[in-house]
Amino acid sequence: MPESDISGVQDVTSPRVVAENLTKVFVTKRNAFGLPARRLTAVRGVSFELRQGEIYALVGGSGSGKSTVARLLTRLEKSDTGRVLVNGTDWTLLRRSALQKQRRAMQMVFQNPYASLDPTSMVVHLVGEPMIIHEKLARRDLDARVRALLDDVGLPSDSLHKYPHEFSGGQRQRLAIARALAADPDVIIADEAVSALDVSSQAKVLNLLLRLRRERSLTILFITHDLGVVRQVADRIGVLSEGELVEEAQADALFDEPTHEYTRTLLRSVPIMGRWR
Amino acid sequence: MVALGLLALLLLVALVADWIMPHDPNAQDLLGQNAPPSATHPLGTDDLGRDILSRLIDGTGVTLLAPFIAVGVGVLIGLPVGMLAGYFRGIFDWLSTRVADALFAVPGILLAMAIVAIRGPSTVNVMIGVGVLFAPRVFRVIRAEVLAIRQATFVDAARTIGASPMRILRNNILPNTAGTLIVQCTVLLGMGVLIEAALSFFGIGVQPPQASWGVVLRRSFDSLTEAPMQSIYPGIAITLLVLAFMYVGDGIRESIGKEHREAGW
Amino acid sequence: MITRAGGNHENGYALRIDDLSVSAATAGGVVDVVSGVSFDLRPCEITALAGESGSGKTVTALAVLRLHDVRTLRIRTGRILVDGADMASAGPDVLRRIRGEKVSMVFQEPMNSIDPMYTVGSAIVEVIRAHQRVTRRAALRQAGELLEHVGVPDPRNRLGAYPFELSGGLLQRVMIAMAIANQPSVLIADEPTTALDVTVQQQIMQLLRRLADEGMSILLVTHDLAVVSEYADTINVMYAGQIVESGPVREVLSEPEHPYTAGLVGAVPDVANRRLELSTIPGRVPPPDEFPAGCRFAPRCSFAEAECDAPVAQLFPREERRVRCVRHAQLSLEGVEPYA
Repeated sequence: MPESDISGVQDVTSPRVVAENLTKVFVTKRNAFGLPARRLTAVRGVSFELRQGEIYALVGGSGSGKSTVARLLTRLEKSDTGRVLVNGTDWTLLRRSALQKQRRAMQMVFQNPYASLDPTSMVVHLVGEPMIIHEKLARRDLDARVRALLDDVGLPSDSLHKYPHEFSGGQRQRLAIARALAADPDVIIADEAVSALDVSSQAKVLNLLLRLRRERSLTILFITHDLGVVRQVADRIGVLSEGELVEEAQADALFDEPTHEYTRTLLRSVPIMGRWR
Repeated sequence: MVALGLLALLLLVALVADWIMPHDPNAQDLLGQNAPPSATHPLGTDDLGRDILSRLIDGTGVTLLAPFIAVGVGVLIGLPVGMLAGYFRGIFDWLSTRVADALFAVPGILLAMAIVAIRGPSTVNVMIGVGVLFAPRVFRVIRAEVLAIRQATFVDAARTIGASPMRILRNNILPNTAGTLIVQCTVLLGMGVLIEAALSFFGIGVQPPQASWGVVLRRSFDSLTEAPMQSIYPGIAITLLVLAFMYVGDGIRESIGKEHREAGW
Repeated sequence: MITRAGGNHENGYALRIDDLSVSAATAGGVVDVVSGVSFDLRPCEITALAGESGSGKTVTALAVLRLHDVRTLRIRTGRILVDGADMASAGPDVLRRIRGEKVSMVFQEPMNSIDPMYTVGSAIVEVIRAHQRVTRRAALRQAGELLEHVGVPDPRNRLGAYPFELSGGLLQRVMIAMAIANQPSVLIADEPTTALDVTVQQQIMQLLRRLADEGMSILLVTHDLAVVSEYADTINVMYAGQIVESGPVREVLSEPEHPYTAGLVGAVPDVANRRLELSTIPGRVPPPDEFPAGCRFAPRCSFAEAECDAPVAQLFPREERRVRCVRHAQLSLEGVEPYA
C-alpha cells in the first residue's frame, strides 16, 4: 500500500481527489417536536477518484445526487459518512480555518453564472479575491494579475472595473473560470457549468476548459446531464442514479458498451444529430 | 427628486439658520402676541410674541438632527446583530430574536420617560432611547435579508475560494443588504421626525427655549382658539419632512429593484 | 365567413405566418425584435423554430397567440392566418375562440404554468368547459381519456392529484393534455423538454410526434438541434430576429446554405462522435438596437465580403429551401453526417 509520502512530495500516480463512501441524508420534513419525520438519501455510498490531469464526468438526471456530490467534495455540505481526500489531505477532518486554506486546491464553477457572481462586486475583486485571500497580494500587483487571467480566458483585459451584469452569460462563465484559476487550483469542479449557455458560447467555454486542462494540467470533475457534452470532453465517466454510482468506465467504453441498464436507457434516449426521423 | 430637493433645502436652511432668520427666535414682543401674518412677521407671532418663521428656521437643525441620532443608534445596534444572527443562526440568532421581540413590546413614551427620569431631559438622550427601540426594526429586516442572501450561490462560491465568514459578511453580505438598509433607514427617519415632534409636544424632548418644530407646535396648542393658523405651519412642515423621507426611500427601493432584476436574482 | 369552412386545408396549411414583424420600444427608439418572419405550419408536421437566446424565436411563438408582452412589444406588420381569421388584428372574441380551440400552447416549465391550487382533473375540466357546452361529469370523463391519450399511467386516479404530487415529465404530459383538450389543429410547444431529463425528453418528444402523426400541426420552439434532427420535419433557423434559413430538416442540417446554420451544427456537442475541438462562432448575438443594416450575421461571419453590407432578401436556392445569404451559391458548408 503506497501511503502518502512523508517528505511531502506528491506521488504522481496517486489520485488528486479520492471520494470514499460518501453518503448524505437530508431531512425533508420534521414533526411537531422538530424531530426528523421524513428523510431523503441524496447520495448513497459513492466512491470514486480523480487522477491527475484527467477529466472525469459525473453523469445523471435530475435528483440523481450529482450536485450534492459536488457540495460534499467541496465541503459546502458535510457528508454523513465517508472521506474526501484532496492531495492526500482528508478534508472531512479539517477545522474551519485549515479548510479555508486548503480550499485553494479545489475550485468550483457553478451552473448559473448569473447567481454565482456577486452583483455588487467589480471584476477586479471577483477575480482577484482568491489571490488576496491566499497570497495576501497587494492591490498594486492585483490589477496586472487579474488582467493576465482575463486575457487567458478570452475576456477583454480592460474590464477590471466592470460589474457582472455588464457581461453575457458565456462571458460571465469565463469570469467564473478566471476566478477559479486565480486560486491556482489543482482541481476544478464544473457543476453543469455550460448547461445554461447557448450552443455557440457553450462550445467556446468547453474549448476553454479543454485548453486549460492541457496547459495547466488541471484535473477536472465535470458534472452534467448532457451526454453530448460528456462525449466531447470526458476521459472517464461515472453514472449516478438515485444517489448511487451505478457504472464507471473509460469514456469510449461506456459509450460503446454500456453495462448497467440505466446507462443503456440514458444512451438510448439521447437525441442524435443526423438520426433523421 | 422633489423629495430629495426638499431635504437638501432643509439641510441648507439648518446650516445658514443664523443668517436668514428675520428675527431673534427668542425675542419676545409682549405687545404683539398671537399676531396674524404681516410684512414683518410672515407667519405671525406666538403667544409670547415670538416670530414663528424665525422659530421654525431655528428649529430646523434640531428637527433634522434628532431622527438621524435615533436611526444612527438603531443601525449601530441592529445591523451587526442582524447580520451575525442571520448568517450564523444557532443560539445567538434565537437569543437576539427574543430580545428584539421584547423590545418591540416596550412603549416608546415609557422608555423616553424612563431615560428622562434617569439622565434628565435632553434631545440627545431621548433620541438615543428612541434609537434603542429602532434597533429591533433594523435587526429584523437585516436578519431576514441575510437569511435570503446566505442561500445565494455567490456565497457558496465565496466559501469555496476559502473566504472566511467575516470576509463573506463584509464583502458579499453587507453590500447586498445596503439597499434594504437604506430604505429601512428612510422609513425610520420619517418615524423619528414624528417621534421627536411628539416627545417635544409632551415636553420631554427638546427643551425650551431651544426651538424645534415639535416645540413650536406645542406652543401653538395653547392659543389654538385665538390663532388656529399657528399650529398649521409646523404641522405642514413636519408632514412634508416625513413625506420627503418616505419618497426618497421609495425612490431608492425602485432603483434597487431594477438593479436586482438585471442581476438576475 | 366564406373561407371558414375548412378552407385552409386546400392551401395546405393550418397556420400561416406572413411577414410578421414585432417591434419593441427601447430607450433608443422603436426597434424590430422580429422582422419579416414568414412560414407555414402544415398538418401532420412538426415545424421547428430553432435559434439561440436573443434570436426572437420565443417572441415569434408568443405573438402567434398574441401572448407577447403588450406593454413593451407590438406587432408592427404581418398576418397570422388561422381558421380564416387573422390573429394579428383579431378582436377579443375571435382571440378567445382561436386560443385553446384552434391553437394552443405548451411552455418550458410545467410547474410554473399550472395553478398549484387545483387538481389536475379540475384544471383540465376547466379548459374543456371554457370551450365546450358539456356537464362537469362528461368533461371529467373526457379529462380521463385525455390523460390516457398522452400516456399518463393510471389516469383515473391521477385526476385527483395536485401538480406538486407529479414529476416534471408527468406534469408536462398533463400540460399537453390540457393543450389538446379542445382538439386544436395547431400546438405551439416552447422548449417543452428543456427542463426535463433526457429519458423523459424522449417520451415527451415521442408523444408530440404521435400527435403530429395523428394530424396536428406542431410548432416546436427549441435551441436543441439534435432534438430537431430526430423529431422535426421542417426547420426554420432564426438569427437576430430573422429567419436565416429554412427547409426540410434533413436537407438543412446536412447541407446548410447559411454560414450561421453551419456554425450552429458544428458547435453542437454530439454523442455520436468525439471531436478534438468544437467549432465556434466568434462574437455574440447583437441586441435588437444594434442589428446591422446589411446581413445581420455578417459581422460574425468568416465568409463575409463587401456585398454582405446590403440588406439580404430571402433567396430560394432549391425547392422548399429559403436562405438569407447572398453568397450561399459560392460557399460549400459542412453539415451533419448521417448517423449510422
